[in-house]
Amino acid sequence: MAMAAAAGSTATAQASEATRWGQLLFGIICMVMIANLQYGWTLFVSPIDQKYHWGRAAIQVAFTIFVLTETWLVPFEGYLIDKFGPKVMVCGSGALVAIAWVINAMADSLFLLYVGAAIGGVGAGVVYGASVGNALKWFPDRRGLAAGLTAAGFGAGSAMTVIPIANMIQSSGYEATFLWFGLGQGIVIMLIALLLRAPQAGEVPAPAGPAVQQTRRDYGPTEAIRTPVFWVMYAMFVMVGAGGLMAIAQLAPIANDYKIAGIPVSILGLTLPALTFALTIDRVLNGLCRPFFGWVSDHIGRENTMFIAFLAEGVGIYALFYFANNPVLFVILSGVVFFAWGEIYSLFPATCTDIYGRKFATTNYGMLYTAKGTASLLVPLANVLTTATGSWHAVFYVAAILNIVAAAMALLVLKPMRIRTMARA
Amino acid sequence: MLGQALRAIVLDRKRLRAVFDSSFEVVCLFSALGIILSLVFHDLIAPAFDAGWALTQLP
Repeated sequence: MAMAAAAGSTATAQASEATRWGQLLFGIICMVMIANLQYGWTLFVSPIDQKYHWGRAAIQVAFTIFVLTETWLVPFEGYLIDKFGPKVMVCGSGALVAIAWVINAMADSLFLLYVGAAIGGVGAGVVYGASVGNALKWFPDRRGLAAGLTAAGFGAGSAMTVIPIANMIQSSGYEATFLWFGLGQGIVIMLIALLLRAPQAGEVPAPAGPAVQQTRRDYGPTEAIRTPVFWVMYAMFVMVGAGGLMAIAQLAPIANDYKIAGIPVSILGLTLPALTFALTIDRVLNGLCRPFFGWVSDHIGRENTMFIAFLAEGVGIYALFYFANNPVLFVILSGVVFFAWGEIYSLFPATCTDIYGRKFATTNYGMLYTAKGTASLLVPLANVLTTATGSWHAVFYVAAILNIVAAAMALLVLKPMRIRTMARA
Repeated sequence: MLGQALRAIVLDRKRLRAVFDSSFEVVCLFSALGIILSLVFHDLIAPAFDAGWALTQLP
């Protein structure tokens, strides 16, 4: 209970398992509700363009604005969540999520579309930060699993609604789809928000064995960014995030180079063209790996799990480089790459809160989460390599090396630094 | 006039500090810098390179 005591609040009775699993479930539902804002967007681009002829590039600027606000405002929003609690913040963001898509439904100018994207990004950022933050606070003993399940809700959430959204766009137009899905998602978030709460001191169980060592005190955001271990984690997050994105960007060029993109591949009774198959299993494996590796990390330690996952991704990318001319191996190895990539969204939040405590868990992870935005900025630079060398080979080497270096850093740099930081706390 | 304005700013800052500590300024700075640098990158640097992927592919 050292951590709970450090929070400095009045100790209360330990909450029941049902209470904290309920809190986790509420967070996952909220994440499912914001998933369409990111993953469902592509379905709307063509219908908007067909109506207003603004051009796809101009319409996609709205998505860039969404990603910028959704990613970079999380530290700011996380601070408010830690300060005022998830209930009021998520409830307000539910309204923003609804307003954003209602604006999109009525937008007759690009400016309005961009305003809707910015509002949606703010709303989604709050929900993301609050849901992950709450999971980290309620589950100090299963932090990896809890963060992984919550993060998986964001990826998997769109799977249930992609077909209904596509059907409604066809039958009723994109405006009605934006309007009713927006209102529906926003209202669900607002209702669920009323049930959300952060744990009080003493409500959460004592962390398990030494595999998930916890800090003895809570670090504020200013203190956290002054510790070198924070920036080591940030660098690793960027390396793995950018490495995975670089590899994904090259999947189509590889498949086309080896002329395997259209070759049918049958695995487990499912037959699809190789490239389509590889891209289809992306979302599934990327979602599954988050709770899986999070659960593994709760048992064998965060850095050990990072080493295994990042090394697997590095080796997977390297192997893909050599065996991609075989359509079946292309699909399987791209699956390995995707599976070993998404766990950054469960391992880093868990590690961050293990080190810096639960009081500012949302803010501190919010700052670390911006590494996702930084990674996306670095990926276009990979094309410099492709242009300079005339092929995708160099990019693949770089992506594999980034992951292998991050794997080595997990054991050789992060682990000892984390232990030293915790010993000083 | 200027004095009044300055006094109001200082008082507001004190009121603000009663609610938000210095960490608030840090997270505001963190978020603002990130957005500004990203906008600069997206507007000036990224168009020079075809990334081969779109932001919609972000996990």
